Order: sequence, then C-alpha cells, then structure tokens
Amino acid sequence: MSKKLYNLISKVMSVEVFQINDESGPETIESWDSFHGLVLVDEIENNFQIKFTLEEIIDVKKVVDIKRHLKNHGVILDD
Amino acid sequence: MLNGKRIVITGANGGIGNSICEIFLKNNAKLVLLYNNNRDNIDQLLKNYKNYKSNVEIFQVDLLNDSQLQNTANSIISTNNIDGIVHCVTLPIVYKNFLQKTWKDYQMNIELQTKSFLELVRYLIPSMKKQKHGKIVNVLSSVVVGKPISGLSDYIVGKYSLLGLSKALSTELGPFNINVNCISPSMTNTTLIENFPSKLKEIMISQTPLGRIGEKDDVASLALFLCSNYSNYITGENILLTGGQTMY
Repeated sequence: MSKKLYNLISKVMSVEVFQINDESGPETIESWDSFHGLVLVDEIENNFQIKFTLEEIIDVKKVVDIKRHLKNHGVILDD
Repeated sequence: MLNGKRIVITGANGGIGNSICEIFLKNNAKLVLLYNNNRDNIDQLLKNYKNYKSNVEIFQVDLLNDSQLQNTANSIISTNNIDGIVHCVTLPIVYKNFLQKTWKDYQMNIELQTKSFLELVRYLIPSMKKQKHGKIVNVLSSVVVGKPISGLSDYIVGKYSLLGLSKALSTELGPFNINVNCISPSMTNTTLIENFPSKLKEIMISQTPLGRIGEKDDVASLALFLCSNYSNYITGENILLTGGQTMY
C-alpha cells in the first residue's frame, strides 16, 4: 500500500518514486504546492476509497502525515 | 433595463461572457460580440433567441493582434455609437509556481487583460465622450482582493493590471459621465474550473457563507446592473462577488 501511495505522489508531483520518503512534502518536493496538494488528496481519496476531513488535509506536512491519516481511516500500509 | 443600448462584449463565447450576452439580450440590448477561436456558444445562443438575431453583430478578432483589433474597432464605430463595453476575456488557468513560469506567461496575461482593453477603449471612447454617457465593466477575479492563491502569479498580475487601469480610467472618464467598474467573482462554475481538484471546490464551498460556488448568471446579473441606469452613481468600484467568502 505504501508503494501505491508513493506511485500516486510520483504521478501528481511529477517526481520519481525513489525520491519520495516519509519526510517528503512541500518543503522537499518543489512541485508540491497547495494546488497539487489538493490534486493529491483527490487521487488518494479515489484510490483508497476514503474521505479526508478539512482538518486532516490542513494537518499534512509530510508523507508520514498522510500515512497516519490513512491508517486512521483503516487503510493498512505495509512498509 | 438596457433598451436599445449598444454594448460590446469581449470573450462572448466564454462561459461568463455568454451568460452576460444572454441576460443582455433578454433586456433588449443591441450586442456587438467579439470572440476569437470558437463561437459554438454564440451560435447556440442565437438559436435559442432567434427573434433577437437582428440585435446581434459578431466579430472574430484576436485581441492580441493590434491591426485586427483596430480594424474591428473601426468597423464597430463606423455604424453607430457605443453605449457600453464589457470586457471578460481570460486565458486558461495554469497552476505553476512562479519559477516555472516565464515572462511570456505574464506578458500574455497582461496583454490580453489590459492591453487589449486599453486599445479597444481607445477607439470606442470618443463616441461615448461625445454622447456624454457610457458604461464600462471589467470582469476580474477575487484574486485581486486579499491573499492570492499560489500558483497563479501570471493570471493575478494580469487581473491586477486591469484593476489599476480601470480605476485610472474611472477618474479620467467620470467628467464625461462614463462609469468604469469591475466585478471580481470567486470560483465560478465555468469550463475554466473543470479540471480543478474536487477537494478545492469542496474547500471553497465550506468557506463560503452562502454555501456554494458562483454561477455564471450571478456575474451576468451584476454586469446587467452595472450597464443599466440603476448604477449611474457608481464608478471606480471593484465589486466582490464571492458569496461572502471574501469580505472587506
């Protein structure tokens, strides 16, 4: 599941998968601006069949935060 | 509300422009419609309003082409006076941070928003001045008020430049009884936002007291008011149309 998440981030942010890790986010990926952040939210919601709250979206600063919220929604991520 | 008034509308095939055309036709205006690449929406409008066909003149013009613009403006004023101009052209929105944009992106926005308006007005204003009345409305965006959205710097610069010119013209044209005003809508339901993430629309709605994004008719209704005699004492204004999302 982590691979699936990384692939989504890679597609939306136009970066290679190997460049993505738990610490990745707007500060490390140049294309990760607020617009692409919301495109990523759309992609994650559609692919994992969940719905983030506004508070969860605002809380995301890094990939590890997305993983945490996915787990809270019952998504199992095998690292 | 616009009985017999002859009004030029740029971007007449676009979502907002076309809605303005429709409401102006219903209010018995005589329309001069400018479009560039595509006139499908204009043709559909004429189909829907067959009885009003004689009230509509249509010109294809690339507003970034000076000679085309001049020829079109000369054709427009050769037949009759102009009572109003509604300028609502815009380029497709491309989200990129400013380092990924080039000066050309900024230039295109400034030229389409501001230069084309300036040149058009330069030709059309003399007849308005002579008749001592006229209404000019520019359709901007709520990005010109408060904190702008990131990734849209070229679009924002284009809209700000048109806002500045509008205010300057309102001062210079006031003595001739010509009103110059702007409408700044927030996210509006047009093809321009078709590819926006649905989450962005959700967030916009959640932050809007009226609980929805704007519709094209919301903008058209305000343009109608600003081109009518009911707005005779309003000039130099930039009216926010955001459902309460942005407040002064």
